[in-house]
Order: sequence, then structure tokens, then C-alpha cells
Amino acid sequence: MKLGSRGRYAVMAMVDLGLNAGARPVRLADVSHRQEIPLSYLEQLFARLRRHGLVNSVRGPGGGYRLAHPARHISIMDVVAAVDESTRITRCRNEGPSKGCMANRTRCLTHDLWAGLGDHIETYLDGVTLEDVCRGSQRPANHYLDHNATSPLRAEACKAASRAMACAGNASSVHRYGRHARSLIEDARETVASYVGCSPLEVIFTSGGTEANNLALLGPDLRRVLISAIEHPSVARAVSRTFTIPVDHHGCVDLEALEAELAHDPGPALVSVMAANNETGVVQPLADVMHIARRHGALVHCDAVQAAGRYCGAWQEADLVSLSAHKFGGLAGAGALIVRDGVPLAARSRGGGQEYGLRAGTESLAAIAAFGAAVTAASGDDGRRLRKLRDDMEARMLDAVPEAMVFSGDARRLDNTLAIAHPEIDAETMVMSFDLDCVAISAGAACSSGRMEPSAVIEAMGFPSLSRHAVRLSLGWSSTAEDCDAAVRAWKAADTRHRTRRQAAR
Amino acid sequence: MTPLYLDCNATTPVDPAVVDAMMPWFREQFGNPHSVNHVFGTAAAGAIEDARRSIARLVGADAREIIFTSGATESNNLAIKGAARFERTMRGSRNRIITVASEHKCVLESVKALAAEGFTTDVLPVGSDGVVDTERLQRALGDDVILVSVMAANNEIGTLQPIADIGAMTRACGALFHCDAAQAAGRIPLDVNAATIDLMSLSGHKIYGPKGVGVLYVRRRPRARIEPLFSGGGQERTLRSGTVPAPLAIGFGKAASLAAARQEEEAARLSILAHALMDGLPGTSLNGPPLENRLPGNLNLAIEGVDAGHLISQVPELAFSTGSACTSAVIEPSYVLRAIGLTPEQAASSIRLGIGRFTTSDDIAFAIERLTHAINRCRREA
Repeated sequence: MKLGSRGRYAVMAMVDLGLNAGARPVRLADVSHRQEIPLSYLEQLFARLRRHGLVNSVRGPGGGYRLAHPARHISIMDVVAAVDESTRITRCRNEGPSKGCMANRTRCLTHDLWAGLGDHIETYLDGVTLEDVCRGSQRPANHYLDHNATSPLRAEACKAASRAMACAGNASSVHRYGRHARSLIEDARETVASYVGCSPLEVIFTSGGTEANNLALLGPDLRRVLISAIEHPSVARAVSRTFTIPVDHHGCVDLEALEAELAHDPGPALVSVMAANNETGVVQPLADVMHIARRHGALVHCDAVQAAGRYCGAWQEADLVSLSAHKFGGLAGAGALIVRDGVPLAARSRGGGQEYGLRAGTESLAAIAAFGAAVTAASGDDGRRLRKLRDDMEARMLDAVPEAMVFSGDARRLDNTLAIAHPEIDAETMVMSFDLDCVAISAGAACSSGRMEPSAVIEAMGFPSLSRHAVRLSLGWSSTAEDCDAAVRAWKAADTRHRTRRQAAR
Repeated sequence: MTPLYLDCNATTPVDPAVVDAMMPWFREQFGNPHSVNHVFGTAAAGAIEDARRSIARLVGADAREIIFTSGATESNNLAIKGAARFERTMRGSRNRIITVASEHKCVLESVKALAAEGFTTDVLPVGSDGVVDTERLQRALGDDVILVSVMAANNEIGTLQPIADIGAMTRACGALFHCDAAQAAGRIPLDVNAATIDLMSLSGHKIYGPKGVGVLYVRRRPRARIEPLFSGGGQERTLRSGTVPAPLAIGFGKAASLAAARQEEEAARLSILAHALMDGLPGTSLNGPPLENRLPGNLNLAIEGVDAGHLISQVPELAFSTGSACTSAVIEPSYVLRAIGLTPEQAASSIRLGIGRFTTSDDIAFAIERLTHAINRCRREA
């Protein structure tokens, strides 16, 4: 990295100018004194800053320098570029033969690595204005459009969690404290049951969607498990041998393939198809899946983690259903598996025999109470509000970048989700660029690590070339029109930056 | 009237300071800690790492050795089944699991599940004080042992096991030592290196933290290898998939740092209160080890001629139990009390009292007065 003292001193001096801006211009001697930068060096820097139109000089007695534009219109990258500082880290330019890393290769391998880092540095410095630095705070990303990763806690759920934390008891104790804890859990169980349309005896609380999915897939003693090609890793990796049901380019499961596979081997089987996909929001034809499965005597598990709290539908009828509270305004740390009466299931974690013997461990009281409250609150949500916000945002983004691609756009989708790819900007750059513009979005699932991998969902839908480009914007109960406006602005800004850089490279 | 809470071995109330530490992470800072590309996610991830460090410090571990789970039951299942299954998948030369008759139900059930999977299991007996006979353990150890699971402190009778000796013996035979420290953490000093512990389970709600969160300590050097219980997004160094519940983990972290700071002073105070309570109840006998060798704050008393269930119903002003909360809904004599040699009748007339951080000496005086009154009435009726 070559960003040396010249760039850093220039930024210091410009921040000084921004902070000390008043009626009178700022004297370089004062900047020199405050920042401990030699005056002659500052004069050299300011000559360049003035040439690039970032500062104006005022001559004569009482003269000095002023910012040429408001601080919010000057990016840190402008300052760094004006003093000729390079953000390139690689010496090779990836053009024509040279004796460096290009030797004996048609394409330099390390160049792409450092050039990519250089691009990120530039994008980052471009996104920070002088005003941000003068304010001295990291700017909050105050537009949250990542509800499919986690949704902010609803006020009702927060109240329920706080109340539950004030209860000292263990729900398995028989004294009054224990009975109070037990009643909080049973109330939540009834709320969840009535939302799903099942009996409270069929609701097994777990630590979340992952545990529920694992319990569902590992619980029944079955010879065969059939899963769709776009399941969450907690389903896809739960069993080692599965038959994968392909999806079409909308992301919907291929019902004929399912039918053929079940007919081919009539042994007891479990079919696991999610209600709605976490990355694209596509809603699966679950009624058809269940119809086919039942005709062949197979059980159906449905990962309804993204669907629950957002829409009611056929997923509620499945033999096994996984739910997660924190996706619709509950607290992370609570989920449930709905186990319909008569479905054979073996316990995964043994111990004190809680949750009808299917899931041992002291219940997560606050998270379960918040789960119940979030379900009640979510039942009152107006889905059309989010759909209108999403559709409007989508239209404006496509308008700005007509060559962008929306996934599952022609299929039935969750009202809150938009998966979109800019064909020339990879997902990681896009997400960072949005973050710098205070909009939190994601590239696919939020699961494990910082590593950005191509989206398996987009690949399974038949768009391998776009699998590194798809980003996800997901709305929720707290989303507003301002959030969507900010997202559209960030999208346009990313596109503009990209075009400017491409033109500069020519 | 709210009864006086004397069941701190079942669960503890959440410390108000813990609630304060959790609140910001409920509403303002709600990001998914695994969303690494925006500040909502990274802020939550940073706070979880702080919590991980606090918990690591409580037991002398490195933060990288701490895996968040949904609680001690999951940690115990993960440690025991994970170690056994890893051994079978990867090498398969060792096949035996050793544990002790007075362990928590979830440890015994995990071991039982492994027996059904074809592993050999040994459940060692305990003496009248609940302590495992280390000579007997030494004889049981061999080069076919995968794992030894012994708790640091018992949840019903407060027995402190000689974990340093057990750890050394286990390490010498090349097996892993798992220690369920759900009751011991924060109440007695614990150090994973001093006791050569490879795997250790802790629970948030036993140390004035929230329910629904625990950790498994997994030693890095030499590495304790285990197979995860769940598959999924590969969180927690691939050992425990699932979104880490940020507020719960952060609450646990705060509870751990409070416990570390107060452990010594609190243990001394609880010991004085426990002595006062026992001395105030003549005609009762202490089950398990003497108070000096016992988990601070735990009492388990046999009251001759009195049915414990009936006694509990006679003192609605006090909340206490007959034994472990998990099974206390099932009315059968405690297997732990049976393991230390009590007859079914003696076990059925035993109560557990758990004193904690918020119990005062006035509370003790009140408890003595109410209990004495009720015991006398029960005896008169009988």
C-alpha cells in the first residue's frame, strides 16, 4: 500500500480547514502550528489542492485558504487524488509484457488481488466526505434493508422479553417462580400454535431455525430425504445423502422431478422444501409438493423461517415446519419446530426431558416470550405496504440501470425481498458501496464467515455468471419509504462510480 | 405476596446490571452478528467477541476456545456426543465413555444415547459425600477411553469433584476430560489449565445471566476435536451452526465479568448464610459433603418424618425444591440422593435450598422461621 504521508497530511490539513472555517480564511501558518506540519510542505500541498479546485486562496493581509465547496461535497478520495497520491498497491499495470509478476503468463495472477484491494480502498475513500471526518464519528448506517438476515426487535417483543427477564424462575420448577416462567412459555406456545393453526402440543421450542431444521431432518428414521436445490445450509447439510430436486429459472422446485423420484422408489421418504427462499424470496408451490408427497406416502418438512410472520399459506399444513423468531421482530435464540401429531421424531439432545422429551434444556425464557409477542404483532402487519415499497424501489433501480437483473421477479415472491444483480459490479463491492451510503444490505445469506462465496441459489436457478453479482434488499416491519429512497440513491451512486472509474481507466 | 426465592441451583434471577448491558442490543443494535458487510452486523459481532473474552477470563481460557450454544444441556450433548462421534468417524480405536452416577440428567442421557450407538459406557458410583473414587476411576481408565465426563459441582448436593486429579489422570491416558461446570462457574475458582480440562460446559442462567445461552469451552492446545451436533451456516468455528443470539450472549458476558469480580467475596458471604440457615434448622441432617467442602450457597437437607413435597406445599412463602428442576415435575426420589446411599424414604424427605447473590441475612431469618413452623406442623400431623 502506497498511501503515504502526503495523502494523510493533505487530509489533516483539509480537516483543519473544515473545522476552523469562519468569516476569515485560515492562515497556513496556523494550520502548520496546529497540525505540526512544516509550512513549506503545506504550501506545496495547497498549491496542488488549489489547482484541483478544492480550496480557494485569499491574498493580502488577513489572507489564507478556504474550502472551495461545502465539506459534504468533498470526498477524501478527491483530496488524496489531488496531491497525486496513488491508491494502487501493485506496481504492475497488467498491460503488455513486463518483468514482474507477468513473466511467462498471459494474465497476471497477483495483479487482480491487489488491484481489487485498490478498488475497495478507492470506493471506501470515495464514500467518506470531509464533513464525515470533521464530525469525527463513524456514520451510522441508518437505513436497514437486511430483514432476511435479522429483523429489529419489535417494541412489543422487547417489552415481553424485559418482563420475562424479571421472572426469576426455571420453567421446570414447581414453585410459584417456576410456574410463572412456565405460564410465559405456554402462552407463547399457544400464540405460535394459533398462528400456525396447530395444537400447542405440536409446538416444540428450539434455539432457532437451524436447530429446528436439524431436528426435523435427523429426527425421523427414514431411508430417503429429498430436498430442493435452494435450501438453507441447515437443511442442505443436515443429512449427507439426499436427492436434490432441481429448480427452474424462477427458483421454483421442479414438481415433475419430485414426482418421478418418489415414484421411482416407493420407500418411506421425507421431502424438505422451504416455504420461501431467503435470497430471492421466491415462494415455493408447497400445496403441490404436499399433494404429490402425500400421494406417495412421504412426509413433508417445510423450512418456513422466511415465510413465518410474513405470509400465511400452504406451509402451515406441512408435517414438520421450522420457524425462527428473529426474522420477524422476535429475539434471536428462539425458534420452533411444528411436529404434527403422529409424525415420528426422535430427540436430538437428551437431558431433563423438556419440550415433550424432544428438546432438552432450560427454555430460553426471554426469547420465547418475545417470540410470542412478535407473532402477535406480525399478524397485524400490512403486507401490501411492503410490497408497494419494494415494487417501487425495484422499478426505480431498474430504471436507473436497465441492464440489471431481478431474480424470481416473474414468480410469486415474498413482499419484502428483492434480489438484483448489476451485471458489472460484483456483490461485495455493491454491498460495501451501499454501506458507505448508510444502507445495510447483503449479498445472499448472512451465515458464517466474511468470505463472499458465489450464491448457490442463483447458480441453481441457472445464472452462474451472475452468482457473484446478486445482492439482496429485504424490508420489514420497520422499513420506510426513506429507507427505499436511500437504497435507490446508493444504487445509482454505485453505478455512477463504476462508470466514472471505467471511463478513467480507458 | 411474592415468595422468597431459595432455588438458586435451578436458576438465578437476571442481575439488573446484566439487563442494562443487554438492553441496547435489543432495540438500537439489532444486527445479525454474521452479517459482516454492514455496521449493524459488525457492531453486534464486536460485542459478542467482548462477551467471549469475559467468559474466557472467568475460566482461564482463550476467547477462541469459547463456543456459544443455547445452554449447558446443548453444551453437554455437544461435548459428549461430539467427542465420541468424532473419534468413531476419524479413527475408531477408542470406544469407551466414562461418567459418574450423580451427573446431571443431560450428561447421563447423552452417555445412554451413545451406548445405544454402540459405544461402551462406564457409570462410576460415588461415596456418601457424592465424590467419585479416583482410585476406581484410575482403574477404569485405559487406552480405549475416549472421554471422561465429571461435573465440577453437583446441582443437588453441591459436591465438588476433585477435577484437577481427574484431569491429570485423564490426560495421562490420552482421553479427553469433559467437565460440566454449569453450577460451579462463578461460585468457585475454575481454571481449565490447572485442571487440564479439554471440554467444559457453562450456562448463562446459573450465574445471573439470561436463559437460552451457554458455552462450550473447547481446548485448542492440544486440540479437543468434536463433531458438531447440527449442520448449517457453520457459525462458531463450524462447531455450532445457527445465529448467535447477540443480546443473550452479551448478557452472559456481563454476568461472567460480574461473577469473576465478585466470586471470592460472594462465596464467603454465601457460606456464612448457608451455615446460619443450617444451624437454624435443628433436627435436620445435611445430605452430601460438609459445608466446608461444598458449593457455596447449596444446602440439601433430610428432614426425618416429613414428606418433602408436603412440606413445600406448607410454605408458599418460600420457593425451593426437592431437587433438580428438570425432573422436579416428575415425582420420584432423586437419583443423586439414591446414588449417595439414601433410602427412597430419606430421599423423599429431602429438600434443596439454593442461596444466591440477592439473598440477605433477613431472608435467612425469615426462611428459618417459616420452615421451622412448617416442619413442626408436618411432624405433628404425622
